[in-house]
Amino acid sequence: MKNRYQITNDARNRDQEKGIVLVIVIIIIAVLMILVTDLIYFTQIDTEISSNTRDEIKARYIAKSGVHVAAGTLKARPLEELSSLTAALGGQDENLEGFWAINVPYFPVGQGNVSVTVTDERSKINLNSLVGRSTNKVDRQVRTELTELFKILEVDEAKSARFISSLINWTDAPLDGAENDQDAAGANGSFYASLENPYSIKDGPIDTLQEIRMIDGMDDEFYNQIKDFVTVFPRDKKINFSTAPKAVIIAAVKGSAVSAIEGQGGGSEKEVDDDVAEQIADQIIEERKETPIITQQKAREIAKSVDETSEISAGLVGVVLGSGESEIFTVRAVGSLGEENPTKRIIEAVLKKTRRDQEVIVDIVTWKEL
Amino acid sequence: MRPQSRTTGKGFTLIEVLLAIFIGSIVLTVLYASFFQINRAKDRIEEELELYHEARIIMSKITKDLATAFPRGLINSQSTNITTPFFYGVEDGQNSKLSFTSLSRTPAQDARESDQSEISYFLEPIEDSDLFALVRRDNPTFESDTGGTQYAISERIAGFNLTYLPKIPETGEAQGYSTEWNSTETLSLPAAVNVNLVLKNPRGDDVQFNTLVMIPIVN
Repeated sequence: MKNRYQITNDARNRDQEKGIVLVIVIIIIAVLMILVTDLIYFTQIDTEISSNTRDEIKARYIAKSGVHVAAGTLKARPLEELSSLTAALGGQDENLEGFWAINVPYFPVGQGNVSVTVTDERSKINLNSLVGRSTNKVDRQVRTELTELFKILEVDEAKSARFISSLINWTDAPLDGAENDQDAAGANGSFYASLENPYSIKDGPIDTLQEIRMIDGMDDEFYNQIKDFVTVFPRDKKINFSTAPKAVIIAAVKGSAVSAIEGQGGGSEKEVDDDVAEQIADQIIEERKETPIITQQKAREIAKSVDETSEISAGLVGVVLGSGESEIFTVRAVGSLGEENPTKRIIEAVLKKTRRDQEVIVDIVTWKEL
Repeated sequence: MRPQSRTTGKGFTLIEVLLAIFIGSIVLTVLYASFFQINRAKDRIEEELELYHEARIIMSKITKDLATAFPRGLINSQSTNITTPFFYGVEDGQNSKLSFTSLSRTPAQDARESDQSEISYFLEPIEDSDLFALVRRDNPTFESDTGGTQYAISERIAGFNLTYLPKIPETGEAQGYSTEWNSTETLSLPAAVNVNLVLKNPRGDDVQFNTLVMIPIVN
């Protein structure tokens, strides 16, 4: 009897209280779930931010090591061997525009990989050599080279003329009177001072190529047309025919038949025909396939064989790099990490090879992180 | 027996009700307290994480700017007529102030700008607070004061200190860190810059961050 009562009482209690416990438990679990989900969400976001930062730092170091590998390689080997090394790594020697370039598209480093492109700054026309550093006078060979190059690259003629004149004023030394801002057709110091956002004229050599965007006459379209064909880094105007693209060689050949400073150097000048210049350029590029190094001597021989008069081959002495081996290069290294959406870091550096006490030293001239 | 048990089963005694309310309130109080405690802890962790996130952003910005520092006017020349120093760091009260030319800028479209810019970092006091705002100024027109933009990258700085390490000379003794750097005197960039940043967290404690930035073109 007692047992039966207890059973029914227990059963009744269970019937009534079961619901309350369940509700409380469900509420607790729901509240905890909301908190936990929120916490998980925030933790996840923060973990992602942290791992992104970690990947960026890693990718930066991979890119950095790419630059140093290039520096080490340039230090150890002459140009000729570099080409064969590139071939061994699966890179190509010449890119589409006809530039010589070392191109290593994929090289594994640690958990990521790096791609490195090395271009020769001597394969381009040096804008800083337009005005002679010591003479402060316009180098007419370089002026002709630039005019011809911009013509080949189909730059608007008025824009090209304005830019070249402004470039002379931008880079000439701040001497007194007429020697400063010497080209009346170009923008001068007071022009830049009167702009909405005024700045001072440089009156000295350009530091990085993008600086030309501050010179009057330059705009985005013009800049993109010429940016691969001009440089500011070599110390003189000598162009390396071993690595220069066709457009630069044609411009250089045309510039060679002009005397550098008006009235000096014998004054034997002539206008070079378009097809003569093109023929010389074609022969030089053909010759490169056999012997990768085109010395000044070789370039002059080729010029002589196309055009028998002496102006071009004599003028090439001032225009072409003697040894055919450059010392100044731009290295672009892209470090990437991860498979699907790789984190990338790009470093662009200009490296310069110098010989100091029988030892080759590679200096970093500029360093840019994109 | 049966009808009696039914009547007692129909309701609760006062004791039972009181006990139920008592137990229920304890459960609810515990639940309430723990809910808010967890919530507060979560908020604190989030604020802490935000602080670290902020420090990371500041450090990566400073690192990128400093690593691309360059001697303006002297890359392709031995001498220059530019008189403004290309790297100028001074002490400003308890903190540091720095201005230098850098290649970290991405020029705007069709603007008279290049990748070169004068970057400055300095502290500005915040009103009604003992904290500072860390301001980054980016001036692509260099000497002129009208160009460029500046904005605060953090507003809870308690301290910002920079020390500069000169290049180790090939001969002679290496010098230690100095708190000031003027490129008109040294004619060079420092080889490395030590960045020390103190941020105040929401609880009022100072959190220190430290990084050493190497300048590649010097090394």
